[in-house]
This record gives sequence, C-alpha cells and structure tokens, in this order.
Amino acid sequence: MTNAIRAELIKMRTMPGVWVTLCLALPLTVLVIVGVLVAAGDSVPGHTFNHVHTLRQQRELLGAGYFGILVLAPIMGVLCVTGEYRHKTITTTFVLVPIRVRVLVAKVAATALWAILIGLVTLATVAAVALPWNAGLGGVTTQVTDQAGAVVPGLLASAVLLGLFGLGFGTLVKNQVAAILLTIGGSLILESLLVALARAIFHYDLNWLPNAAGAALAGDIARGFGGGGGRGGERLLQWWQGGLVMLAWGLVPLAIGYYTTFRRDVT
Amino acid sequence: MLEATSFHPARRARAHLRMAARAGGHDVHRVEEVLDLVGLRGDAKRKIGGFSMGMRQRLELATALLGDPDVLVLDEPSNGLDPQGIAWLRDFMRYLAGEGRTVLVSSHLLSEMAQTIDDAVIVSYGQLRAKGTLAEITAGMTGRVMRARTPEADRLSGVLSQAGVAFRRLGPDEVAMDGVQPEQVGPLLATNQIVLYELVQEGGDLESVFLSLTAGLGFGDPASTAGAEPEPQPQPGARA
Repeated sequence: MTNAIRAELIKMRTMPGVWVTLCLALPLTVLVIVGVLVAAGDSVPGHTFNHVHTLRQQRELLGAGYFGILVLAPIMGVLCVTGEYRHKTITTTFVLVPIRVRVLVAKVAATALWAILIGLVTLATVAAVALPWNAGLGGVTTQVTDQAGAVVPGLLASAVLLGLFGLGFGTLVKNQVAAILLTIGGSLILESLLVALARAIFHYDLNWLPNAAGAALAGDIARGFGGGGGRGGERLLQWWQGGLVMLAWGLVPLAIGYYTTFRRDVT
Repeated sequence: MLEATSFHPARRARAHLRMAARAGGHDVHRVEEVLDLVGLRGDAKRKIGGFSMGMRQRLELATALLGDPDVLVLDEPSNGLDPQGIAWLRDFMRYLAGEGRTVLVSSHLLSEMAQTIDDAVIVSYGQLRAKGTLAEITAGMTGRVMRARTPEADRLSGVLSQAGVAFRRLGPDEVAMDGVQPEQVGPLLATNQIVLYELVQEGGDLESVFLSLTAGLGFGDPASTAGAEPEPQPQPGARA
C-alpha cells in the first residue's frame, strides 16, 4: 500500500496541472485577505483598509485561504484521477497495481496530502501577507494567531474532504473538463441557485450541499466568502455534521465511480 | 509491455520509471540500470512528450525490465519504429534472450520477426495453426504453394477442381494452389488458355507460411474456399 501511495505522489508531483492548481492558492488567498481588510475598513469612515478587530474578522483573516481551498482542492482530486484517463496512463497503473481498490485508496491518500498542501500554502500566504499587513494597519498579530486552534483544523479537514469530493466525481465522470465543471460549477453556481430556490419556494435551508457542508466544517472562516453568510445567512450544519456530509459527498461518487468506471476493462 | 502511448507527456523519463518502480514494488535503484540497458540515460531528464516513438518504446521496455523478469511479453514492439529503431529492437531482444530470458513477441510484421525469433506460434481466429522452431515451420512450405493472379479466376477454379488440385481463392482475381509445382500448373493453364497476370511460387518465409495457413479464414472473399479441398491443418511434426 505504501508503494502505491508513493507512486501516486510521484505522479501528482510530475503533473504541471497540479502545480498550477497549488500556485493559484496564493492569489486567491491574497484576494480574500484584501476583502477581509476592506470589510474591516467599512466600520472606519475614510479608511479603505483597516486591521481586523472582531473575533470573526480575526478568524476570517487567518482562514483567508478557505475560498482557494473550496475551488482548488476539488480540482486537485479531479486531476489525480482524470489525468490517468486523459493520458491513457491508467492502463499502466492497473498493470503495475492490479488490485484496483488499492489504486483508489492510494489516490485518496495522495489527494488528501496535496489538499493539505494547498491548505498550508494558504496559511503561509496569510503569514507572509495578511499578518504583516494587518500589523501595519495597527492590528495585533497575536490576536489573529491565537485563533489557530479554532481555524486551522477545520481549514485542513475541509481541504481533505473537498479533495475527496473532487476525486469522487473525477472517478465517476473520467472526463477532466466535465469533472471540473461539475465539481466547481456545481458547488459554486448550481448550489447557489438551488439554495436560493429552496429558500424562496419552500422556505428551507438547503445546507447539506457540498459548499454549505464544507462551510459548516470550516466554521466561521467560511461565512463571508462562499459559505453560509454569503448567501444570506442561512443556518449551517454543525461542524461535525458538515464533516460527515462532506465525507458522504466524496465517498458516494467514489464508490459509484469505482463500481461503474474504475473496475471496467481498460485498453 | 504495453503500447508506447501510455505516458504522461509532461513526466520525465526517470520520474516515470521511479513511479513504475514504486508502484510495482521494485527497487528504485533498478531505474538507473534499466535506463542504461535501453540507452536512455542521457535522456532521463527529458519530458516524455518530446520523445520519438523509438525512445518511447525503449522507455516502455525499460519499464517492463524494472522487475528483472524471466519472461517478457511484448505486444507489437516494433510498431511505428524507424529502421534504426527496428534494428535496435531486434538486437535488444536477442540480447535479452541471450541472458536466458524468454521473450514472447506478438507481431504482424512477420518478415521482421523471422529475422529475430527462434520459435514461432501462429494463431488465427483463436486457433493454433502452427508451432515450432522457425526452421520447422517454414521447411515444408518451400515450393508448396503457387499463387496465380488472373482475370479468369472462376474458370481457373473450375479447371483446378477438375484436375484435382487443392486451391484457395485469395481474392476476386487471385488463387492459391497447394502442393503443386510450376511444371504441373503451367501446362494446365496453357491447355485451357487461361490468361495470367502473375504466377508466383511462394517462398518458405514466415509471411508466406502465415498467409498460407490463414487464407480463407476471413481475409478477402468469404466464399473463397468454395470448391476447394478441405484446408490441411499443418502440424509442426508433419512439417519438420
């Protein structure tokens, strides 16, 4: 099993798309950092930017990478499996590791590690950009870093489960573009529409779809950008409920994909 | 060994082999050895997307050799190779066999294979048609088959039937006659004034053997054996 995981990690680190995805975490995080500091400046007339001062703002600043994770971790999962079909390397993979469930488990592990890496890049970006900038605006750095215990576990756990979500749909769909559109377009656009419709027609909080479930797991950090608060403050699930729902959003398509696609003969 | 298209184009040769070594549970130190074996050490840092077909075949061979196998199964290894690549592959397969390995090659390039192999197995439509050493398989074929190309193939078929000569229709204007010599066929054709475009005595090469053994089994006219005697089922023992 260890060998299969190490092989998957070599595959991942030798795919340019994976590095592009990882690098995109930096600008997306900076974008959100700007947003958080602008939002903090709203309360101070005459200032475009201000240091964070409420607990929520401090957590949002530390977890500014969540939006990047929401977009990029599923892509990482999609790339991990669909790249094999796109470049026909899946045949070699199955010849080298004939037990296909072992291949899939190795891909889960590799995706999880790269998703965590995305999370770490976002945290490094926060450390390099957000904290000095916040301090320059008069903020106290320790007030932000003290929130690490509340922010970092949820951030990294959501990264892993969002990566699994992408891997699941990648296994199910196989086509790279279609899988990316399905995961990203589905969670960012289609989900917003469905949530709005559910609220307008049925007065129901549709909070178990991937975006909202990921937001619940990530906690307060996700509310402002893509999570619950961005859509009008719907009631999110508890963090652990969000985690379980996200796990299901990854495992169910993964299991269906395994039985319908992954086990099929390849040429 | 798989076809030489199963590579990620952005991956470098060494990385591909390291990945394959890990996945197959082989010692990663073998990577450098097999790179040397197939002559790709100097290109190990290059991306596979920039490799020629010959280099990809070498890399595929290197992948297959990672586990230092006793038996190598190569499927159409010379597909798409240039003459230099084919010559290299031929020498390399002989080298591997010389090391005591068994190299099983499936190929449709029979004249090429005839220069390389020791033993041959001819399979057609799932049936074993012949097996044995190359010499055994081809020995009985020299001079056995005459191939005629004529615009009067139907009339020729009738004449051959009457004369009791076993034949097979290879196409609308081609007939293969088994177990005859030119001295028998020539007078028969002249007597019956059959126009000929070509009359060839097939040689005893592997390709001719294959064509002879598989004629009428779905290639060309499906009714090609009509009127012919049942096709002999060659056995190596009978040929040797």
